[in-house]
Amino acid sequence: MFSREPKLVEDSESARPLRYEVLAILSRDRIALVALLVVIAATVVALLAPYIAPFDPTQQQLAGSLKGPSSIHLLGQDELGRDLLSRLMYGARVSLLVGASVVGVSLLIGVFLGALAGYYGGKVDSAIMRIVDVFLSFPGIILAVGAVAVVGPGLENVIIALILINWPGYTRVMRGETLRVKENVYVLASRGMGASDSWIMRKHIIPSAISPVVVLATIGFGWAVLAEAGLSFLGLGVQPPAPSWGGMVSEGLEYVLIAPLMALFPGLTIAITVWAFNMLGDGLRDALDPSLRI
Amino acid sequence: MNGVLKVVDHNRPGGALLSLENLRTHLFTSKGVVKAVDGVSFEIKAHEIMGLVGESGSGKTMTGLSIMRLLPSPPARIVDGRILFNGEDLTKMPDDEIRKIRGSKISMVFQDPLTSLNPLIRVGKQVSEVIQIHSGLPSEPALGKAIEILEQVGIPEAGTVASQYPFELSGGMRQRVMIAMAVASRPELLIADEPTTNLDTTIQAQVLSLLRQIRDSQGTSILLITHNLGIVAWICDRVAVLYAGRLAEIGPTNAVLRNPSHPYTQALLRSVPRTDSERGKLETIPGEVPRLTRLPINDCHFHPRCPHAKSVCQSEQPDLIQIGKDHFASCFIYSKDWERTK
Repeated sequence: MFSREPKLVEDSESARPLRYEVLAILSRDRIALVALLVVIAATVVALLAPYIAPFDPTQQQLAGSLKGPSSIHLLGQDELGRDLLSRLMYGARVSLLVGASVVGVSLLIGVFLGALAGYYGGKVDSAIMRIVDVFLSFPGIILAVGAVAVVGPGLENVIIALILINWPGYTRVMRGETLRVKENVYVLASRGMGASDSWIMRKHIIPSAISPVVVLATIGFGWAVLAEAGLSFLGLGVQPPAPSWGGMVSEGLEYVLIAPLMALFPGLTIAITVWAFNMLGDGLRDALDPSLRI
Repeated sequence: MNGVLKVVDHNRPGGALLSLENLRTHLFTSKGVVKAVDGVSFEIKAHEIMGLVGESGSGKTMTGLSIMRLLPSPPARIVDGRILFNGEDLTKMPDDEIRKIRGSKISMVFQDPLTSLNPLIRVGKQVSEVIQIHSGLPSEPALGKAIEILEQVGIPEAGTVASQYPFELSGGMRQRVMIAMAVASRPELLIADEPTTNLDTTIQAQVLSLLRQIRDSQGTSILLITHNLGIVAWICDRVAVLYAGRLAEIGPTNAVLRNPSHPYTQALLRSVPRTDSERGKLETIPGEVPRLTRLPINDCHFHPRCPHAKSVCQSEQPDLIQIGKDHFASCFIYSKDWERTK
């Protein structure tokens, strides 16, 4: 059934590695492209915040309290006269740091445990998946709030709490993909060539099973940014005076009737960033879908 | 079942590279025990191409996977018998030792060359990784060797092909790549499970010639699993016919095809379409392959479809009986008192 003739692919096309193909498909998806630009912009701003922010984000200027946008303070000032733009720029560092570390660590745990559970099956699978089930049975954000409430607020604790509620999802997806991939004849063939279990997992299982997990990670990044904002909004995240988007919304809320822009700008920033990560995830999913490739 | 062992140790100037002794591989399913391989014995000599024929479900592939210890477990398990390779029993070998044998001393080529190759890895890399598994070579020299081997299996412009992905190759080319992977470490035994089933006839012939060429140049013994008697006639030195997990007939290809002795083999040969005879209806074997879960233990499994069946066929299992030189069939017809049996 697979003996059809080889597809006629132009030479330049055929020599291309897979990742370029994914990029090529992604670049044809306008929304994903915009989302990618937003993500890149947010990352650049976060990395370069100390150099490009016009003011120190904690520097108070009480004379400018709750002032709206001006040519000096492009997005206006908060109740203590701190520059909102600078605070948003520094806040990006917190949000992206949380997103990257939560997603990164959850991804590592999820890929490792999911591959083990799916590949070996049996008792290993039951043991890992029962733990996953326990974690998944809690409503995520409540578990995080509870965890932070117990260990105390702060950036590290927020990251740990979010990892705690994030890794089971990655594990479950990775396990499912591994179950699918390990049935491929090439896995059997590889074992027939003398490959060990760890070789098969490194060379065959993980590379073939990881695409959906990567997509999940992109969306999970947006989720983590939102969750951090939520926790900071509740006062459980980054502590003042350090800026974070969630905390800024929370502060702005107190003055929402006098200076609505103070809550609106960080709110919009969160919305745009989360939207961008979700759209990028969508685009990646389409680009990685083998049935859409060539 | 006791007489089966007669085949082993018989007439062996070259000695056996691999011998199966009363191999039983059963599948333990929720619907009952499937006796996929039920007491099969034969041997493969050095430099020999041995055909293993039978219809779907006759236990051919399970026999191959048993030798490689690649059975899907659960449900499959070798419950009895020995598989001697160079005198060592593969069924009792620890996992890490059998792994060293796989791919280096015994290799397997699977039916579908597209799904047997990882679609995400370039062809050259896949072959070089097999080399790396057994030699520990760094990746660069391994890739060089891989291209060399791809050339040896008749892939033109092997350097270019090595940098392509499997989906860019034709079926025949893919199967050549699989064979390259299988013979990369010069194994003593190559198990080819229906290696040409999904290929065009001309490509089939090329791939079979390649197998023969490998045997001739490297002295590799080949166990060729197929349901195609034409392939057997063309390339195999000896052939074993399986029916419902048991050996029906075994012998030199010429003897078995010219003088088929088991009624099943006879029926099988009659149902091969021929171009040299006058037109007529294609013969078929009446009935169907029995369900392997519901087989009686003591009978000839072929008796419900056999034109010669007598009552003894329903109550006893026939032993292999010698028909000619090296040629055996498991049928009561060849027992001394067949005429007198009811």
